[in-house]
Amino acid sequence: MTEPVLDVSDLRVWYAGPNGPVRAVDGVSFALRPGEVLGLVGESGCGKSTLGRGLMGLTPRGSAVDGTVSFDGQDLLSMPKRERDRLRGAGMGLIFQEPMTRLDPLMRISAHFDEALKTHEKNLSKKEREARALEALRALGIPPTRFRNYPHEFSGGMRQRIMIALALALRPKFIIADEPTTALDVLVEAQILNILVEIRERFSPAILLITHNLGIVAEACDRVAVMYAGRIVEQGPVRDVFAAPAHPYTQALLRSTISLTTQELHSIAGAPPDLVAPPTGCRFHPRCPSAMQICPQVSPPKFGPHVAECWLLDSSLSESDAAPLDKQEVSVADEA
Amino acid sequence: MPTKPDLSKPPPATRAPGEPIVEITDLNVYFALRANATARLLGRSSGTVRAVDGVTLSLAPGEVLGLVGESGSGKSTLGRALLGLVPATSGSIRFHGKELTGLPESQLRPLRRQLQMVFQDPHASLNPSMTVGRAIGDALRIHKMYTTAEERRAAVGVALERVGLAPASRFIDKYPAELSGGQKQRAVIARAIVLEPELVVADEPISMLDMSVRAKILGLLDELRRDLGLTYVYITHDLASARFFCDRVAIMYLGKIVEIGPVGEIFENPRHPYTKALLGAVPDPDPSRTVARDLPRGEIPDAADPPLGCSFHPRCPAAFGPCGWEPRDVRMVLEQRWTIVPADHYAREAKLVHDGPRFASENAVDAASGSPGEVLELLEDERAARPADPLWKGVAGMSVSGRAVLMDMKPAVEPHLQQVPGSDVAVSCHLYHPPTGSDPAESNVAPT
Amino acid sequence: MSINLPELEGAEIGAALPSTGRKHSRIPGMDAVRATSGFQRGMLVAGTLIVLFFAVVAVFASWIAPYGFNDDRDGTKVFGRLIAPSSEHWFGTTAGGEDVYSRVVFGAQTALEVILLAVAISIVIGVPLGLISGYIGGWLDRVLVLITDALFAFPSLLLAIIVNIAIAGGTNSKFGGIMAAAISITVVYVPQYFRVVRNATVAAREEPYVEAARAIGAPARVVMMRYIFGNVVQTVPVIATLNAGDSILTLAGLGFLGYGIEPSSGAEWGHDLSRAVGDTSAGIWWTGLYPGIAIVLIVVGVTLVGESLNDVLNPLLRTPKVDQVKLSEFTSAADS
Repeated sequence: MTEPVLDVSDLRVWYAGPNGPVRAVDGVSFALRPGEVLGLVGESGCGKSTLGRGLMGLTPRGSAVDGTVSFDGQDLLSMPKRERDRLRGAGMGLIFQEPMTRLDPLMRISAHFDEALKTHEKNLSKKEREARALEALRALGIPPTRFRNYPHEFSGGMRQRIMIALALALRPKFIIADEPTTALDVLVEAQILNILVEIRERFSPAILLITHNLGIVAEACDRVAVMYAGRIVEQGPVRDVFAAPAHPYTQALLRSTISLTTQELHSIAGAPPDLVAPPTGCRFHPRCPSAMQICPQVSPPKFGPHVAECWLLDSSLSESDAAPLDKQEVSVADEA
Repeated sequence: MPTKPDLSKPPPATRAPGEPIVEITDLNVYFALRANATARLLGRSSGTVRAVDGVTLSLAPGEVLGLVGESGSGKSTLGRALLGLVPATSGSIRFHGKELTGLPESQLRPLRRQLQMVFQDPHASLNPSMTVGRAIGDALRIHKMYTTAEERRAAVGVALERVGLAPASRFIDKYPAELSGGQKQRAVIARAIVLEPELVVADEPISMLDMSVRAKILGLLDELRRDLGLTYVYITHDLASARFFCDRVAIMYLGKIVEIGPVGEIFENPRHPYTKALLGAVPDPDPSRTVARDLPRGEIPDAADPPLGCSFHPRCPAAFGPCGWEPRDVRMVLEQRWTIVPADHYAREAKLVHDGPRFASENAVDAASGSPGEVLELLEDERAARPADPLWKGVAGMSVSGRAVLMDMKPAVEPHLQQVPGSDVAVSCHLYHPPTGSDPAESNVAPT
Repeated sequence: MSINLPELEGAEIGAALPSTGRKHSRIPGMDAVRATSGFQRGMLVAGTLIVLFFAVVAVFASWIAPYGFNDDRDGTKVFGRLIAPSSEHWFGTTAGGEDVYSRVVFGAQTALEVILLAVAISIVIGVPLGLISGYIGGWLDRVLVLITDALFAFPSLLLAIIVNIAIAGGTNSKFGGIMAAAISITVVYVPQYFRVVRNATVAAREEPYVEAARAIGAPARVVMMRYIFGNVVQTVPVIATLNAGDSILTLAGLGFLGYGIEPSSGAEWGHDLSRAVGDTSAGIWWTGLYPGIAIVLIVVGVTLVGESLNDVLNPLLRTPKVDQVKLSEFTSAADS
């Protein structure tokens, strides 16, 4: 097996909130190998976007980060800020949800590419820069005739392709795509998903795909990490996790998703917790249908086969620990 | 050869079973576009967008009709026109036989009690400076449904508990900013049902909510339909929820209904190539079901300048002769070519033709630099490289004429929504209702 | 003076301020003070104190001032002209033999009355006009915008003089004079309220909650009053305070040029200043210095309040207070 491009262990990102520190990412570990796509999935407010930004070093003022993020053998967190800024873009690319807000409306597409390449690859000539840009654009199906257009002359889907091309032109080893298709229509979303598959074959970057859509994970990812209240509660190969989810949260999330084969509606009781003061022990225990006595007391360790943090997977629990937890009735209205 | 269909009568699939509560006939909603600064200064329009283009529909009491399409398909405009929130340009909307189009706002207002709406963004559709109780109570106050404030508050409490915001005392004095997304959407639904409407237009009511809440809100809407006998128009781009929730589904593209029929039939046996494409594109959490690799190319075209004939034809993998091919469609094919051919070919070829709107006139592709002969050569080369491209099925011949390449296109025929024999579905596609003199067998995809 | 305010809207402020668990204070303005820090809070507090001081002086002028503003004698004892500051006349006397201290104190009263009237009339006219113009739109909106733009383009002091001449002809009662001055100032400031409210209304008109109000059957009057008004009126206090400082200068300018309040019907700093111009060459400083200081001080006070309020309520200018987050000791789940 190849060495991972990105190796994250025990990463914590806490940012300042009005009622104290928000534990948006609280002890998260995962690794990404070259050409691998990891889907990071969870509800809004589970910390998945903060995790993506934390890896990039784009954390809000006042936030604190610890743990280790090893990118290509270097520890990002102990690296000087300037060096890290240089890596952003060249080594690591970022694709956002709303591409229009990330493109300067007064700059032609050609100028966007020129500037990005100039900053990160100083030894390229103007001609080489243009060739690199056109190559990336063509790979994404943007006709070269549109190279000198302005961002507003493109449709939403085209703009997202341009953003991806912009990231790819720098040949990054690792790309974070934060909800890249959420603002797009079904057909355009499917086109972008197909493109993601193609660029893996062509450029083989490692991709962290942040999304709330389980369908997209099934479609475009090799592995999936399910995030709940600042922690990755389950991760493993997509097929295994979706076929036999081990964590009750993953099970509930899969069941509550409305798909073309949905016959009956299911939902998860309650609302995600406040990350300023998350529940003790397993953070899902207040909403978990199979919570046991031990769940609120001790945080569960990771259990195989694909990794999940849940006491249900521990076969050696004592009888008192495994006794079901009495819970207060969750009101229908307490929801996200 | 099929006989000429009778287009004066709408196909049965557009009609609701039984006595309809709403009947829409040949509805058009056009918007004026104000493009440049001078036109804006003078208050003049410089073109129109046909947001809803000749839609005929009816709704039966208690049914859920889905309007499904991408953004720009006109589904939201149709829903708003139905409530009189957007004026109809022409056509008719009858509610219990009463004509709604052309009614002044003052006469429409009392009818709003029976016709209600649930919006996409629950946060934005609640006034941030009104408590939930006041927002819902205001609907009652406007329609003078109760005389005292106490009575109104009691009615609001009942509505809140009806939508699951119980106990009502916990929510009635909250501001929208203090509620979660799902709770806000429940409040919006309470505001709609407190007026005891007959018809609710739900415009993407779950698309902005979290995955785990969507099922709850959809379940609530379903429950309210059964308990209160509501009729819904469910507007969505999400085919999965439409399949679960709707009785009948109308697929819309660029202002027109392209396919309509019972939900089972549409999803089991989609007929229109656009419906097929949409269904193939839905990402499914089951890893064994994957997104189709042969998606339609491009995106929804500019509604101010829609394609000739069938508006889906430039993207349609099954398009053939009569679908409405025009010389400007050549640009799309050439741009596709230029993402494939080597860069130096592109540099040479792109100089031969004009870019932008000057690319093609109504019947010819203009030459920029170089001779029209070279342009013809380029086009012939492209045809030889990808002869299966649907475009070439619409080209009868190409010849040099003056400074341009004259494109002889097969005559365009606009498709109409017609019943598919032996089914409950109506579809607007030449594959199923070929115009005289055309042969659907020449299409790359045979009709199913 | 130009005021550059972006359109504020309730939801936006809510989103910009940390919303969870934020307690609103019952004391008006307390939220604003809380939202500030350091230098900004100093500005706000200093400005408020200065304005409060002048307000107290104005309200209790008759008790604070030893003599009337137009008196040149106490009973039968004539003060004498151009007497230097002494224990009897703290600020000296004027060429007309009036007590400077008393005139400055009563001047505060005049200023306060004129400003309150001017701001009130401007709001009463400008806000509803902006609401109607923005909501109804069409030719009415175009005509109103054209008129207010024309007024904007006109030099404001000149405009005030013209209006003052047109309406003040012949009035020499105190109320008439104050009204005339207030209306002259109003004409200058109505366009500002109009434009800000109109632009906010145009933006709010497209908000889903306005469409929702129409969908429940609300007539235009109700939509404007109950749905739009509350959300667009939030910018008005800021403009009002910023305008108040500016209008004091306009009032003083009018008085200086001899167009303000009749000297016999009210004390006015600008008028006093213009009469003191001749005195300076004779080495008499006290007739001009004190009214001058009063003008500068009150304008500074009002402007400090206005600017710091603008900073607080305008999310684009505000840099929120953020405390550095401290991470707690890391305990991995496996250890516990």
